[in-house]
Amino acid sequence: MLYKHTATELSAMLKAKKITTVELINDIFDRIEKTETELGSFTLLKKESALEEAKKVDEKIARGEELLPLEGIPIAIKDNMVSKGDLTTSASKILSNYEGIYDATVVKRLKDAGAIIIGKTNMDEFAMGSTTKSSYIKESKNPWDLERTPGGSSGGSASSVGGGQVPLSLGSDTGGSIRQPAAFCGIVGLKPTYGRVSRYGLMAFASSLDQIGPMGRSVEDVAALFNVIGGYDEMDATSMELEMPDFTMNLDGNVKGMKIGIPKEYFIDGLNPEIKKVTEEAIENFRKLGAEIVPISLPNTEFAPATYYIIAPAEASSNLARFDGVRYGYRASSYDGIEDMYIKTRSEGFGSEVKRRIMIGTYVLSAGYYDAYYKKAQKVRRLIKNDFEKAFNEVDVILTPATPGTSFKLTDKKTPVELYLEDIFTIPANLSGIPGLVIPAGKVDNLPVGIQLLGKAFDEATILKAGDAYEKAYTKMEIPKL
Amino acid sequence: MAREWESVIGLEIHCQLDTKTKVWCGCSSDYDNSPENTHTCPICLGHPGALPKLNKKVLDYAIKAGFALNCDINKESKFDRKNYFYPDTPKNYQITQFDHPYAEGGHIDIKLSNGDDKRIGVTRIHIEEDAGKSIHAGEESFINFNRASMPLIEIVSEPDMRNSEEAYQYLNLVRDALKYTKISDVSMELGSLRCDANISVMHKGAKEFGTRVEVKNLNSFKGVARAIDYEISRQIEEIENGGEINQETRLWDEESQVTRVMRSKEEAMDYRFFPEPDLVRIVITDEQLERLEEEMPESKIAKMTRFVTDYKISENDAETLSSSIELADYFEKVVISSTNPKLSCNWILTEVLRVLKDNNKTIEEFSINSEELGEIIKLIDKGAISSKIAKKLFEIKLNDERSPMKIVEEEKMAQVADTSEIEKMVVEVVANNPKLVEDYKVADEGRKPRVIKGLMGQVMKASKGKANPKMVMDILTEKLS
Repeated sequence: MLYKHTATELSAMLKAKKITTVELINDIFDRIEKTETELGSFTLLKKESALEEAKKVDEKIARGEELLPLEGIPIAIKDNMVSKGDLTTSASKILSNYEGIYDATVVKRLKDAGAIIIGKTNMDEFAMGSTTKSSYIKESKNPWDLERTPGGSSGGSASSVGGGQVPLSLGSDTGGSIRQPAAFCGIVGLKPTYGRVSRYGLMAFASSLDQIGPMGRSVEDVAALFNVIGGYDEMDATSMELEMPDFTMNLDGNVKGMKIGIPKEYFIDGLNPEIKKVTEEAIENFRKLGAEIVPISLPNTEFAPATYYIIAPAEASSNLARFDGVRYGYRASSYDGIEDMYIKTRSEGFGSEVKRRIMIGTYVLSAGYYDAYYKKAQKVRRLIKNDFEKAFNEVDVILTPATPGTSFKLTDKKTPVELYLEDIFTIPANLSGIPGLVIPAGKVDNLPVGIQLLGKAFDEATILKAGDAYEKAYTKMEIPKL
Repeated sequence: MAREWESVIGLEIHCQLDTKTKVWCGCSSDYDNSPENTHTCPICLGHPGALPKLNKKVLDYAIKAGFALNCDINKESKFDRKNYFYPDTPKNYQITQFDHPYAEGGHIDIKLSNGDDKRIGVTRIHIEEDAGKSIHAGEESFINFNRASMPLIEIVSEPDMRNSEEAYQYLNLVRDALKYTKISDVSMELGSLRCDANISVMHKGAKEFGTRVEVKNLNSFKGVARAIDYEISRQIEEIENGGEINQETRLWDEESQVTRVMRSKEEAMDYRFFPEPDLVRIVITDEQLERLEEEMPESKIAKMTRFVTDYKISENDAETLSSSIELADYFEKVVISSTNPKLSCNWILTEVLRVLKDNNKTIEEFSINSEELGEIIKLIDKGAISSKIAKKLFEIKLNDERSPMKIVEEEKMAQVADTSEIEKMVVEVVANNPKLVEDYKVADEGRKPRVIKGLMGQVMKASKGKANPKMVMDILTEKLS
């Protein structure tokens, strides 16, 4: 039953020699074996190498050496993060045979910190989607209701943590891909400030929006994982050379006097009334904890999805051009010349959502339309960023709903545009580069509901502090029965 | 009556920068003799997740090129992606600078045949990455990515040139200017300098330029000139025959000396440029500019002018001596040790350059160092050896480790300047040539010098060329009077 503990608790147990790392890894894999057929969280499991790593940690404990904070702790990573010698597919047919030839910076940092990578998690193909249904490899399920989606695109990372398969995972968030599945699966997910975590080795979807972040069952766990993966990396030119404080240090439960802004534009007609109710309760609870609630306005919010669905596909169309069958990955079996090889390889190798976005991106960047779409979108992006900068002159944190509704059924037929609106509350943070934290705030019909806390750029400390205070006072960590 | 034509030419020159590593990664750029695909990594192979990071040296080198071509350096600029599918382009986009290049507004002055200077504008210089190399073997194709992500600068000229001669001169001067900064080996043969030409024709005095044709695949300086000449006549002929010029890209076919269509405007690519999100803006500081300015060598023009003024040598000689910074340095060092600029200049231009040309070597590979050549010239200058002996000494020295002085001593090459010895030889020659002596005595003043030269030749021959000619002449005149 070790799987029910948080990473912080497990680390303390290892240090106190109450359990061994090998026991922990075995227990984790028992749980995975029992639940994986139902949940479908993983694209790759590495039991053998995980146990080898565990033995090394146990030897270290036996020698009486001090353990690092996450040493011996099992972790799952999203299948768009390259790890040396492992299949890294981005859940796409076009990379179904691709083995990483180097370690992504986050992977290297996890290994250096002694964390144990137990596998790769399922996702929407190339991180495009909010259901994990666009995966070429398998379908993932919501641990709270197996007929429903875990969300996406980091659906596998969310279901593995939510379903009690692993205490911690890494996801990537381009428009809400950590926060929306975290909300759907009832866990904590952080999208750090753009430039805070190195993207080196993250298979790019939209370079100016992508950010890797931690997912876990408590704010403290998420902060501990963030400590390990964050910080300047010379391999990523957009990584910021700023100091990383210890984010687990000021989680003191105190939000007295903290100014929390409530943007009126986030409480729109399409918002599910039940979600609205949970969010309003959360606001009231923060007030009870001593925070000052301040109504604010972010006037350009309504343009965020349109802006995002121009910029993200534009960058994606270029980023995904390298998958052409020439150097690695899937190649069509028969073709007539190089042009035909490209066309067949990419037609067969990409799924429909990826193709849809490549086409949109190619269109908005084309010479005749660049000014009307891409350039204009960049201008609106600047306005959205300005809204936040102005708001953060008045408040410390902005509180919003995380998603317009709860997890929906896998069989629900939604149009691409309906699915795009799933990210309406999370997209603005990516467009402006600011950090966003989603924590569980309640349930509707036994389905989790999350709230989102947005912070100033590089001030993850404040939203983690607020999230931790709320969690300590109002939420009880739960793992559904499976 | 046929109207007169005028042509308009602009050049795009690509120059590979000679940095130790590639532009985005740490792969060594020294791949010339390495097996295919051995200088590669996840970054230059465009593997998923790999990100570019600007090699700071590339920016330094590029800025120096900007200085050398008199450009304004933009303190802030950015990178863009140029999207197109081609197997030797690993990411299927090229990182380049589209609308905000790092350098703009430069120029180079060429000399027209009438002696006037003409200023050719340099519109811009930008930084970009090179592609790999495709190798086609029958049905199969292979790609060598060793060259992928090598740093390039592209130098775009204004359409200021009017004929192939001007273009040829501009290209040469750009090469010289770049070569001086040592940022590239600027060799068209090695592919580190590549050139495309934009060519159009119009009626003389017309206000609007004709339709422009881009000619690619120009692999030699002569090829550039020939392709321009060919294209100008082709375009004029086309129009005079009632045809029209299409905006198209053509390839120069070196073998048959013609241009051929590569693609027309209809099939022109849409590169879908947009700002490269994986790289931050280029920011150049004042400190960086100052440091690089200090590192800039004296320009070729400045050097030539100084040579003419300081060393009193001809403009032509100064130009040849400054054709490379290494040759110019060699010359100046020879002058220091010889203390005779004129003689040093003559020796380098005749003897040294002849040996280099015969052996296909550069001045850096030359076996006689500047101090040694200076010593030889000094020996001539103070009369220790004749110029004839000096040439012999030079030939020996080419393959000899001994110092020139030592060779002169050990090979007994020094001039005989001993009066009694010369006198002995003169007496002997006078005795053996009674007819010439008689001839001299009866000759009129006009013939006398010619006759005495014949006798003098006999003495020099007897001394094996080592006798001091002035002393021989003095003693001979004395004996004959």
